[in-house]
Amino acid sequence: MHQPVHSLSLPECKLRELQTSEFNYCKDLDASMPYLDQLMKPPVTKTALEVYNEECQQGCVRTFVEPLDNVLGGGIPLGEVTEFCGEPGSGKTQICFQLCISVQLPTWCGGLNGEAVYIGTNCDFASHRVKEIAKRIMDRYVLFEAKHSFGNIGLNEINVELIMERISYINVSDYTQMLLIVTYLKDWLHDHPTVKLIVIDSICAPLKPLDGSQRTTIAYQLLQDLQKLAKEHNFAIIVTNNITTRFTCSSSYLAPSLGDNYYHRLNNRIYLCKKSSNVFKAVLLKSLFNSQTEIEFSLIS
Amino acid sequence: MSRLNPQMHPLLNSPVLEALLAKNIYTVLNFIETEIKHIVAITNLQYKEVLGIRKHLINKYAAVTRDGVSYYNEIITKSALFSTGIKRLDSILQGGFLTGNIYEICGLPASGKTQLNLTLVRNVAQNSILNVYYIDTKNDFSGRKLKAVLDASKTDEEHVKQIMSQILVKKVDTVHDLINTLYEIKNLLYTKTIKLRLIIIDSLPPLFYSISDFSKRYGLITTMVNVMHVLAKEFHTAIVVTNVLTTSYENTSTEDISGKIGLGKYWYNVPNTRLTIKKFENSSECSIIIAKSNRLLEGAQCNVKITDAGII
Amino acid sequence: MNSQIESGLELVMRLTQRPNLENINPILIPKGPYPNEFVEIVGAPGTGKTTVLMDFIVRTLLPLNLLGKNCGTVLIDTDHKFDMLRLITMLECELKKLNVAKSCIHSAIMKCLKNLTVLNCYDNEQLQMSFYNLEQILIENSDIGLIAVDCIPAYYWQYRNLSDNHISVYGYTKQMLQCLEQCVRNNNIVVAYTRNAEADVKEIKLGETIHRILLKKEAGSFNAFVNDKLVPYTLGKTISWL
Repeated sequence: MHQPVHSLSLPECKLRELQTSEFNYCKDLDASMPYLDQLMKPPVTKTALEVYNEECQQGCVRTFVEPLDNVLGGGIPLGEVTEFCGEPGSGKTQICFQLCISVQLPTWCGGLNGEAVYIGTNCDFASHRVKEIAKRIMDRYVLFEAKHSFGNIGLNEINVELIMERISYINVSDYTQMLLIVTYLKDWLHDHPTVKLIVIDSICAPLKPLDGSQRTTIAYQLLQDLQKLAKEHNFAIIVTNNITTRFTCSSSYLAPSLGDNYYHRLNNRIYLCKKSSNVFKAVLLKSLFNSQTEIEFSLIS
Repeated sequence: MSRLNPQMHPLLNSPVLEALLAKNIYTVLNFIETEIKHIVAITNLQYKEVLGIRKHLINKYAAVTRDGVSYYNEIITKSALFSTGIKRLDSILQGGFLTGNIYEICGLPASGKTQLNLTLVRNVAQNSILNVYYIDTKNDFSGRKLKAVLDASKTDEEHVKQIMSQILVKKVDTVHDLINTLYEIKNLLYTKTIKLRLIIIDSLPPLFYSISDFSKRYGLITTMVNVMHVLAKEFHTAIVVTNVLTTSYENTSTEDISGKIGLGKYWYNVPNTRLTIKKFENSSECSIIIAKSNRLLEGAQCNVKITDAGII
Repeated sequence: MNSQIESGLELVMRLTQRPNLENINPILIPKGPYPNEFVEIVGAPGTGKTTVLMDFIVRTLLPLNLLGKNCGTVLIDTDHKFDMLRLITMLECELKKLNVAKSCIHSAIMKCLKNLTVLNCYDNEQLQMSFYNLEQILIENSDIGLIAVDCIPAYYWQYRNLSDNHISVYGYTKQMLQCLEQCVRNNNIVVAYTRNAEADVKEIKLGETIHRILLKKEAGSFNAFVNDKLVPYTLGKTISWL
């Protein structure tokens, strides 16, 4: 019972070449392929204890919304895909803005001192809005710093301009661009090792023109590639999604779009809805850590 | 098929192999399919010598012949029926997981599959000193979650550490990684480096969505299934695989929106037992039903509860 | 004048008397199966093909005085639905039906198992090489009268990917059957095999006679079709023909 060649991650042309010359099993290859060892190498095995220790040391992006952070076990986990879904106006974009800023705060006050990348697909990135939120956060930050008076840390460390500079904004108009961005990010991230957050707002908009199975395949591929980068460079991935109507034979109900197979790929799903002008409700629908919990909170406005 | 090489038989030296290659006889199967007299003509070997090579190759590459009695004894001594740790599930499984079988757990999203997997891996590691493999394809395994489950069930710290060291976690991204992993486990079991009864793969569909060519997809599923069968039957392990059920909302027929099982037609018939898990609305209770099985009673059902300490 | 030259080996094979499998299941196979014939069990997944095959095997393993054929069987298992423990249960049920004393059942089952040879295959190469190995197995054991293969097209997708062959399931199944036929011809044995296919699948024609048993599940009940005759059955621990 030998491992066949077609189980290796080889390009089609190479596979065909090997198979036409009747090299069907990996054991037949040996010297003819110098990188065979690499291709046959499985991922590293870790014990659950090692995984646990690593997770404890891994950070998370705090939202600075206490009930939300508590229910998430500290904040948005790094290396995972978290989705915010909700109807238009439910606060998804706003919370993304807030996270792009909070990730930049210095570590002593709970931030990660990192950069953020915002990939916008429906022109929702309103820089003036981000600036406003940044100003409010800065005001609070100044108060916080004064209260706790860390002597040698000055105001110059962080300010609104710096915050805006450390958010990289990319506008994509269709799904091919979205896929290209990920390829582009592979190299870009090597030059920007402090990126701690990548936001895609929204993931469903550019996939609208496609049909069901294509949407799943592309969303999957996108998240798969991004999550690989996320584990390598240690950043969090946030995506936003809309709500759509689904029909059963007797009734209709609301559900996040893109379907069940895509849902399977997410690590966390948080449903947002707006209750009043600044009060939001969040329901943790899927999480590695906790079962369904509902909380209410207000955002910095 | 296996390519002919000099290590296979002392008479298969370079000039003989070259002569065979020149006549398009590359593999063992090509050699066996060709009549002996043709081989004699091509290679100038004796009839008896070719017959000897043929016999040797068939012996080496055919399946192992086992007589009924010794096969039965082997199964009795080496198989294990081990408890899942969940009493009600054990009762519908007639004792628990039986090695040599592939079990599938499928359910709609958020029906409790990952919770069930964590409970199983915790229970099996707790009740023995053997390792358990947890192969995670979508980065869903959380050490913190496992620890929380162990802490909630009031296990003492030393024991928690030991259980967590027994569980081997592999994070795989692609189906190639998974197949490499399964072959690695096969080698480890063959060299008796580890002792294993349970392998959990959570879950299969994410690995195949990026492969759009269905012929390639099914070919890879077959390869994966073949090595799973080897692990299950020859090395006496039980393999538990998670699959998705998706609601087909594009199909507005009068039938119930019952789930459509992922991975396609070929996989549908592979598992020995298929368990469907369904969560009751607004409750922490789930039902587990045997949807299909070779040996267990189909339709048998049990209700379990999701708690902080796992599924009971 | 037609003269055939056969080797000494072929002569021995042809003349070897093997156990007779006639009337092994008169409901499904009214006439036969005679030596060198094939029995095909075809049906969609879940219709009980492996169970029907196991039922045949139980009949061949049981001794003559217990309505069996006392015949050696070689089982080639490719999709691993065959469960040894289930076979034991089926044997037990049969022995209980025939009023064999409880204390004797275990030794009777062991005696039956002596007649069984199991070959577990895990890929296409192993399967084909196992067919070629049958020649040796048959020479060494003249008590074997049945070769059971479950199921023939199991490695279709692997074969298709291995050499990029553009072959259909039908083509592959036919190819494997022809290889098997080649390996066991003139040996006076019966070959029973299962084939996973939908009901309206094309029939395969070989040199020998094939007894075709089509299994169907319709509206919760199982039916077997043999020569346009309908035989209902139920699946449980064993199979009961109604």
